[in-house]
Amino acid sequence: MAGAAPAAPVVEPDLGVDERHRADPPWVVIVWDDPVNLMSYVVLVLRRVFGFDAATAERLMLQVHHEGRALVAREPRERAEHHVAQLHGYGLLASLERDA
Amino acid sequence: MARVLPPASGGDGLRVELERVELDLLVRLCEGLAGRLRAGGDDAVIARLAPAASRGDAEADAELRRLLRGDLLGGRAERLERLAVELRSWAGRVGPGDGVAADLAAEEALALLQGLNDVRLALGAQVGVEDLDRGTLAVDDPRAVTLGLMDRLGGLQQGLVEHLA
Repeated sequence: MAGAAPAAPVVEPDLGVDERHRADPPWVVIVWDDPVNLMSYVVLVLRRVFGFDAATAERLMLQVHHEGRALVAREPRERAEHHVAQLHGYGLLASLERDA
Repeated sequence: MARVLPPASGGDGLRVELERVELDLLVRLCEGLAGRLRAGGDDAVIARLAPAASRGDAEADAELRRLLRGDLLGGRAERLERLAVELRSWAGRVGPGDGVAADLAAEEALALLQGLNDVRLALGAQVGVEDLDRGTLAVDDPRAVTLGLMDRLGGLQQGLVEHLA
């Protein structure tokens, strides 16, 4: 996977990724559902943190609400960490994962 | 009853009206949570306000927590303390009835919105809202009282979001 830390102690199966996937940033930011955050607040936070338009933020919020989680960004690890920290600052449940 | 209105002078921002008892309660909740965050340790409130940053990867999560947790909790405590000072200053701003009214710029309203959210998350974590079936709680169950407060603050929060959007 492009951009993975060379010393990462994770054994990854050879997935035969093609060049297109190789060029993709290898981390994703996930927002998780929780019973306290208001739906309207989650939309506001997604717009402020990622600059989404209203329709995109609304769609992602509804995905979180109905499916329990939504992928909101796919980007290099450092940016993903920064965004997760910002989302935690706003009180959203968010995490980053290596892109599958 | 707390209300959010367009700003008295027009333009950006908004006006918040609170009863004095609501203002006092908000100040105490913000200060109480700030104190709790400053004290550190581990409990449901801390866990909710500094959640896992990487699920399914304990090593990555531990590393991220080391990096993020101090800033997250310290920054949040500072933010809540600033908000409590600001809210105390509202006591002199006379509103309708015996209440207070404050005209807030958008950024001030956002600070209030975040503080309310922090307080609501903490109240929810205190009663274990994640695993609670609210329908089964007796009316006089202390957890029901806490959840009622959480909802009431949610009403104010909703008003702020609508005027900020």
